[in-house]
Amino acid sequence: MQVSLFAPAPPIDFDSVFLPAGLSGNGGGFPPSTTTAAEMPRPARPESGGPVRGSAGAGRRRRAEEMEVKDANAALLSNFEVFQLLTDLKQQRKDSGKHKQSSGQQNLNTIMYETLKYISKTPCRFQSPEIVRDFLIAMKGHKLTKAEKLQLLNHRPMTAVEIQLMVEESEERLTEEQIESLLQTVSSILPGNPEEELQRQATMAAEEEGDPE
Amino acid sequence: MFVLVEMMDTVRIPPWQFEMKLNDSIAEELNKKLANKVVYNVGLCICLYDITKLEDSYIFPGDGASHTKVHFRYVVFHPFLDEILIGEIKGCSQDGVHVSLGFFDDIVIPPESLQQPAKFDEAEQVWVWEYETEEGAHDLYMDTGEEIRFRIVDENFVDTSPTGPSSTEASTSGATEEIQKKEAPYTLVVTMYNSYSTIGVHGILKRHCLF
Repeated sequence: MQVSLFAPAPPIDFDSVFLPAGLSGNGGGFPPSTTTAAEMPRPARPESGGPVRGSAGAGRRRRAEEMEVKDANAALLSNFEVFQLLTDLKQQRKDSGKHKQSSGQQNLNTIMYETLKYISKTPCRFQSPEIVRDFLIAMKGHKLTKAEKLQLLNHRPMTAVEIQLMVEESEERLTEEQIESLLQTVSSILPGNPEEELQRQATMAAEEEGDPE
Repeated sequence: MFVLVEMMDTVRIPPWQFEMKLNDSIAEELNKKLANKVVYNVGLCICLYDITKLEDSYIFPGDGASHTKVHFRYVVFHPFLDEILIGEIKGCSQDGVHVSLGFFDDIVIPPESLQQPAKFDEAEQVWVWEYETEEGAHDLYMDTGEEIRFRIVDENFVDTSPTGPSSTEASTSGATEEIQKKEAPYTLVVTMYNSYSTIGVHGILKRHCLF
């Protein structure tokens, strides 16, 4: 990181923060400040023939660039990844101790809290990077698009209807057995709510005991 | 639901923050600027993912702060078309059912997209799905607080940047207040309608299985 201090220049034009000629040309070649302001070499004016300001030299003049979005869709994130990121961030901020000036950080606090609250209600909180990796490997054979795999990962469907909604044209692309195997893979690899699982197993066991009678 | 957006911006660090590590102060500034805000045509920004590149920092005449060009990636809420999401019903009105995700509230289900037949109950201000089966009609109420699944159909971005003073003389009529209509910068239009309306769950229609 290099912090350059520039010599006094013509009045600052806050609309366009420009880099005086010294940077583009000589780079850091300003003499030590023993010279007075009057003698200080001034950035070139049109008559002097140096790098030109004004319409002709518009290319040299860089506006303070506004925020730019380079790629609005660089990657898709699963709920689990966002959950991990936010919990780590929360931990970091808690550890750092000093209370950040609330005025500036209030927005971040709000959005973090709400998003964590939302994601904590989904099955993503039981996932781990290994589980996600195993799931994606298992999904390779089924020929699903990235978006469909992401939805399966985020929602953990338990019924065929849910799969039919998430997978486009599932009637043409998947047979009944494939849907069944998909459901199997999903419920075996992706963990659900442990308490619910126990409850379900308990009720299923109770039903089986009831049947023989 | 969430996407990673690559962005580039010039971050201004005031001199009193020079003692902090540059990465930390830049992360803080970026979060201060973008968290919980909607970027036009991009989505609702959640938090900073990482900083990919830091260019040189400059100090400009007349301003003691350093300016650094930063390339970074931000986590943004931007569901894709046809994505299925689960939300909570916040309320009903004539325009439809309003659903919220907690961190994002401007989701609306227009009446056409509710399962038909649906009617609006004026007395209770709630939409009702009249589901006909052999046993008779079941009325399923879209109550507040109910979990609901929906599919994204459309999104609307509105540029809410401040406009200049209007050309009409607003200053002369001091009594009349211009009530600024607050428009949501990012709204989602969603649907519950789909062809799979037969839910074979042993005759008992679980409300949270509404699609």
